[in-house]
Amino acid sequence: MSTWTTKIAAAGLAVMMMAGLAACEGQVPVAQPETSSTQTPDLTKAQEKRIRQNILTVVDKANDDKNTDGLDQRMSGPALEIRTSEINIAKVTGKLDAKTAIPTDMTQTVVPTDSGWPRLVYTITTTTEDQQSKRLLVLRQDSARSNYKLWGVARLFQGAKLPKFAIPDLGAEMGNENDKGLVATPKEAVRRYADVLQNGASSQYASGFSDDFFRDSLGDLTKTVEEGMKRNNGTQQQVFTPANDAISVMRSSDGGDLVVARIDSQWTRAAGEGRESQPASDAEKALFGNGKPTSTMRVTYVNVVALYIPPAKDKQPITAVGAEWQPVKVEAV
Amino acid sequence: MTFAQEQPEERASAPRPSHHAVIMRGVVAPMLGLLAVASIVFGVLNATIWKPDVHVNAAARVSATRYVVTDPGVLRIVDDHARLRVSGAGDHDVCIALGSPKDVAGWVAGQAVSRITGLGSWSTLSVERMKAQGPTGQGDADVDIKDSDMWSKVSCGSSEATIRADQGQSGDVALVDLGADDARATIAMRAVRQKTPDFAMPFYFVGGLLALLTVLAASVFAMPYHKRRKRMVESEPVESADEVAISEAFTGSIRGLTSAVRKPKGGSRHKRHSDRAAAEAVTNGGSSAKDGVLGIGAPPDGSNGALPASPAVIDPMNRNLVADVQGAQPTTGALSGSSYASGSTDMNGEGGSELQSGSTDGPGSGLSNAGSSDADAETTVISANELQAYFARLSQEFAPDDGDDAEEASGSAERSDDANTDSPHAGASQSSDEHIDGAEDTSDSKPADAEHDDEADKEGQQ
Repeated sequence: MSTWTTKIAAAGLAVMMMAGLAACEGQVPVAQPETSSTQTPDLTKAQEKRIRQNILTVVDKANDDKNTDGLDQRMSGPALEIRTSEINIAKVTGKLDAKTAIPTDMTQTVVPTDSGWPRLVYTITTTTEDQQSKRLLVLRQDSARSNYKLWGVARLFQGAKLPKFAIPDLGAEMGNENDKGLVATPKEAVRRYADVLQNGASSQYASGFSDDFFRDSLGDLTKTVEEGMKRNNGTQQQVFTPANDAISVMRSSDGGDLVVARIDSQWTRAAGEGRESQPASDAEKALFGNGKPTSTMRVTYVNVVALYIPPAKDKQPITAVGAEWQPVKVEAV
Repeated sequence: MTFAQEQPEERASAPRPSHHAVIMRGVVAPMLGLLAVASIVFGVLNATIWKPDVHVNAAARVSATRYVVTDPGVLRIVDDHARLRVSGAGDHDVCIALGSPKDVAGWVAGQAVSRITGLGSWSTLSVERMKAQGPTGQGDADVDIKDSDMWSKVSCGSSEATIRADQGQSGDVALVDLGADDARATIAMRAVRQKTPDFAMPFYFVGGLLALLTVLAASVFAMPYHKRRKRMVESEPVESADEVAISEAFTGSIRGLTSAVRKPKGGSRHKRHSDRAAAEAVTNGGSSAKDGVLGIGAPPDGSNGALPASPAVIDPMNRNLVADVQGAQPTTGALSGSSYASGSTDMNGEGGSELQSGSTDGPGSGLSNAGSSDADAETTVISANELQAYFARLSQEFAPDDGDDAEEASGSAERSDDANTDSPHAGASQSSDEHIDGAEDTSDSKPADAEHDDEADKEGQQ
């Protein structure tokens, strides 16, 4: 009897030992995270392209339909206001201004590695089909649950020299409006530029900025209008005000900041006694529509300026590299 | 022991193996063989039916959280390609998105999430529940998960969704939106292992080793130790032994023959007696003995020690007259022990003494030595044919003792030889005459034999 027990026990033991040899799958692997994910760019180039195309699809649709509904899905900030105005003008004039064109191809994109929100992407397009200058597109994602939207568009000036940025595979770094180590903090630089726009060469900050196409053309326009108003015994006044928090900052690889900011302006033109103040351009006319002009007309502009702020050690002036301006409201006061 | 002697032993031992060989061949080798077969069988099984599955299917059940997030690296824990499948989430829409960890973390910020941290086993995913850090990012501009720009890939479905993670999304993690906080779902990950562990090869290796051990256990290890050792040192010494063996065998046989001649004499007393008689006969021989012509004083069989001296057969052709003349000079002067020494050493004394001692039964005294040398001298006169015929007869009578006697004789020869060389005067003074005579006679009458014995003696000394 005991021998049988021993045999059974031995057989059982043998089977158990065989089970140990059989059906072994090897050691269970452990998850190995790749390199620090916080240092990866927020978007791949493919994602940026997809996002840009999605945005431009929406914009083009609004342009074609001349309908601004749904435009806010893919546009925000000054770009949304400007485009809305442009489409509204196009409704009247029947045709979009040529400057509204945004090329679909890009020449450079700047993708940061920042993990927080809002996030920015700067994209520089190619020139337009009619050889207009390149556009600087600012894509902005306000929160994780929202999508990238076209926040700002600035037409780059001819010959404007942009700073260098880290390639999108490595990722750049976003700045903020209070960045130090520059000729001026971005917020201060925008404030000074608004002052220069308002006061021209007489601004105390004029020497701190290079001449640029926007300032020159605006000065010429202002001078022309002012001469006209003087003939009518009228006056004109432009007030430039930097918009709070409407500023995007991207750090370049040479230590400077490329700042895209919104500057609101109001142009108030008062005609002389017994005279009416008329819209100064087709755009204003279209915006004014069938309104009844009075002696005073107030036109609200939305301006987007792109400023390159060099690092303080370079002792270089701040340079405006691009801008966009658009009357968004014309009212008779 | 020469090789020729070894062979019959092996043949004899073959049919009756030792206990050690029985154990090695009967127990150890079969056990090792069994283990070898078992190892190879296990190897084959591990390479076939027990082969690790290249498909890894791991699943986990999640509930009470709307979001499920995989840890970085989990999607490619098995391979670069993985398929994630979510099913059974009621009627809710289910979405799976692949995105960078920071994007996913931003999406689920402030929410309760189930974290898939890895493989609990090969068939289960390990899940932890946690609350994601950060403020809840709810806003008017929120988009559905499937519309978000952040994902590199997104897949949605009603209560079920599947997504495939490829190499391009190596750094991505998966975000699962079950559509509702109270949803229950099963999340399954399927991956194909490109490299499965090879468990068969170690078994094959061990099996091969065991097979080798089996063969060794049945062959080399089964041999007795002494044989193995013998074999090991066999090769070199055999040659030198061969070199010696030619002359040794010859002298050995000669000694065997000579001792066989002496053997039948019986007791030592009887022999000594006959020796003395022979010595007397030689002494009486007078000048004839000094001339080196020996009569057969004592017959070799010794059965009748007092045989009258038979006519000496002289072969004039064999005489060395020069040696005779030289040998005659010392003997004509005063015969003494010292003269013996010089004479014997000048001539072939060693050979002479060897011949004497070789034929003695033991380390006898100088007297017996002298006697035996005489007897040898006598025997040398007998022709080879006669000797052989005689020995043939003797060997028939005393066959069993031949070998032993030969050995004993050679051994004693060495001993007595030593005694002679150490003390040349060891011989009794009274027998010195005879001794010298014998030595001279031997050298004179039978130079070939003496020379031969001389050689043998040298070898013996070596």
